[in-house]
Amino acid sequence: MEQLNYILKRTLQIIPVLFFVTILIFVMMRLIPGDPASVMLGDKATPELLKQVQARMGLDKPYLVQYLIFLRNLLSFDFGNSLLYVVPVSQLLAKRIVVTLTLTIMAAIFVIVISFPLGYLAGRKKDRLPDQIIRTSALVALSMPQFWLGILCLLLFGLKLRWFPVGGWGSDWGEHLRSLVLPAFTEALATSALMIRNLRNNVVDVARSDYVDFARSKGLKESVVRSRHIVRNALISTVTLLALRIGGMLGGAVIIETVFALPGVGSLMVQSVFSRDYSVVQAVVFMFASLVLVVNLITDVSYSFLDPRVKLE
Amino acid sequence: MLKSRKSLRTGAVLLAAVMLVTSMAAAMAQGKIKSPIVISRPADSDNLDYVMQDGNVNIWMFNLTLEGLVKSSDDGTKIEPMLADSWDISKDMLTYTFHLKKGLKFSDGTPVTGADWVFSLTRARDAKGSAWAFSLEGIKEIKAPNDTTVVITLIKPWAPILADLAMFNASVTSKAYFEKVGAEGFSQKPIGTGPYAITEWKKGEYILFDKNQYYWRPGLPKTPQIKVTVVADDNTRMLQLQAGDVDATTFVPWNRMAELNGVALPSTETRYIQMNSTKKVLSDVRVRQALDMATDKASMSKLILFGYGEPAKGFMAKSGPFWNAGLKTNPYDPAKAKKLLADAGYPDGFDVTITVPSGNTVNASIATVLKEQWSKVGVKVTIQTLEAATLTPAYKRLELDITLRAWTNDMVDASQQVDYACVYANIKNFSTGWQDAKVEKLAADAKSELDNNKRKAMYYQIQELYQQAMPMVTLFHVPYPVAMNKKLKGFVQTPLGNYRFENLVLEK
Repeated sequence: MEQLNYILKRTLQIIPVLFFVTILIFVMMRLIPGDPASVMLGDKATPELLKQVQARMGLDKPYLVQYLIFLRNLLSFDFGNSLLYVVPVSQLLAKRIVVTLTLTIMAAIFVIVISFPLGYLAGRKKDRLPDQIIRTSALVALSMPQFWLGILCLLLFGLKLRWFPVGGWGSDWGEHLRSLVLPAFTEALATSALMIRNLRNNVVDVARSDYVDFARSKGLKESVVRSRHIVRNALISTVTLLALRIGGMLGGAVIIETVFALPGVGSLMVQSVFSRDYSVVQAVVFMFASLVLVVNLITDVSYSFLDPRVKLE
Repeated sequence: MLKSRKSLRTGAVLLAAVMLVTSMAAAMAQGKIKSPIVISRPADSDNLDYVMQDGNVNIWMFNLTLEGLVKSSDDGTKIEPMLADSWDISKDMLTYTFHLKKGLKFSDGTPVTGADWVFSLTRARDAKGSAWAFSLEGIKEIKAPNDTTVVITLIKPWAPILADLAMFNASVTSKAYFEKVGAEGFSQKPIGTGPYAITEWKKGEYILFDKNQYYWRPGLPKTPQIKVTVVADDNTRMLQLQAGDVDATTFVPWNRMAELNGVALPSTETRYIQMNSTKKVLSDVRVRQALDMATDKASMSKLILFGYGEPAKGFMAKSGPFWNAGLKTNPYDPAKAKKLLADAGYPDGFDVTITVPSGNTVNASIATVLKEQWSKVGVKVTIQTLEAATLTPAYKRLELDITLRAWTNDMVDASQQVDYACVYANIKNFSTGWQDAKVEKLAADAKSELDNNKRKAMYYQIQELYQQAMPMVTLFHVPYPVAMNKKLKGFVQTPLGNYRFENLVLEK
């Protein structure tokens, strides 16, 4: 009940934040120089032509009217039409969200699979050989530029070994999943390195703490001490970190999407900013603001499961 | 100890499971046969309404699906019959009567009627916000007395009319279809009488073209299906070609051309240094001439285009009509440039800013080379990078000193390029701010002059005057870089950029 109340309260708090986001993004998009009509027409934009295209895009209306239209559409869950593609933004987004979500989930699985065991192992074997190896590899992984790692992966696993396609998204779920392995791995590597370092330090700290000594002196089995006391406590800040990173990944991994030719949200977003496709940018930012807020909420709630001392209020 | 090994093991098992699932899926996927010819490009189209759009990503695709009365030849030098077999021109040069092929059908199987022609051409002429409406503004009336005759009456004699009608915006589309799907629906899937029809368009991913079952040229197109994919990253796009995942790719980086056996297709692309004549220093023609002489175009072309381009002669497209091959241009001569600068009052040179769009490696390289070359005559260059959409309005308002631009022709006539370069009211003469009444009058006269030799003389004169005034330093003529599978034959890209794939075929 207490948890339900908390979730409800937090959900309601999201609304004013999102409202503020709509104002912010609307104003910011219009503050940057250049408008979609002039970008679309490029060098051929005679003054008269520019006016005609702006009128067609509805950009001749006062800003306040444009904002109110945006807000009214939003309330009926309609993001309007893309200025450039003319099709509804929701239609553009729907497919790309699937790509980005699947990529993020797969990357998150890779992160967990790679970093949890290695981080724990490094912490338990502090300053011994496994720890040294893991720490050094993590440092290397962290400092490698993503686009370069991506190209290397494509060269080896795509071109030479032919295990995975050289970029693209494929046409059915089999191909989708297969084409996501390399990008998800590339995306996961840097985050994994970060998490390994974090988890290792946590494990080292927690293992030295009094309550772990106490648990042992109570005569608890070593496996119980590890799983219930060390791992659980060490994971708290690591999970926060993971959630933050997932939020970031959802925002679109532009470099990954570009290198692996994935039609994800990140590349749509960047392209829309460049072409000043206001309605798409507004929709994407709004959606991600909502997503990040929800992920944060989930993270906060999950603390209470990891650590019963955390009170939700 | 035990526990950590266990968690490691769990991790390994999980990882293996993920790999297994994906590779199984992969095996299933590989069972399918790759049938279409796949061609990749760096950016997707955004809107395919052929009357309204002017971005190359869109207009270069239009010849796959759309056709008009006449067309530009594959080598981009002349006008050839297309859906019209022949045409008569009245004595006063005001009425053009086109005799069409019989039994023409759109890709949806409906017959092409006179009403479709009147609808299509009227829309092309009158559409608000179309960058091409200017090309048909000389048309007074469009009539179709029957389904195989189109009569076009002009307001006044208009030399480029056939070239205008050969442009994609003068293609024929189905009136009934347009009215059924509306302008927005039409922009997603335009239909015409071309060799292909769009069957699927996944934005940012690919466009699928299927053979038009009703195509009027027997035996064509040779390939049933073509998939045009989008891969923004140059490295990945080239890797896909090497892996055989795609059959051809466009916009090959110049440094990869030799390694990939790329072909450089003749184009109308010319690159310029656009100088703002309203800035004090650059308003002096001696300074502009000096900058031209201080630019070593030959070595720059070798350095940046790896020998695939050539120093430009004049501002007009080399592969287009009326290009003056005998134009006298300045040789690379830094000593003379220095003297000219001294005459103009800048014996020690001056400071100038070159602004380039971010992410454009070719322009960034040109700016870097210019900085080095111009320093020899005392001109100190600062390179500024601006995001493209911010840069465009800035140079259009004549706020910047120097920017780097490129141009490709869209029609087989000189008038389009000359209008933008020499008629101030259009776009301030390529946003140089330079004006010349004599050139402007010549440009107008050349459009209504019907004697081809006289027109040629006029355009030659325009090029000479332009060369003397030097509002832009023209750098090089640049071809279209394409790389393809050795077995791929019939890849046509005209100098105007249009792709023509009716003869495209992958040989066994």
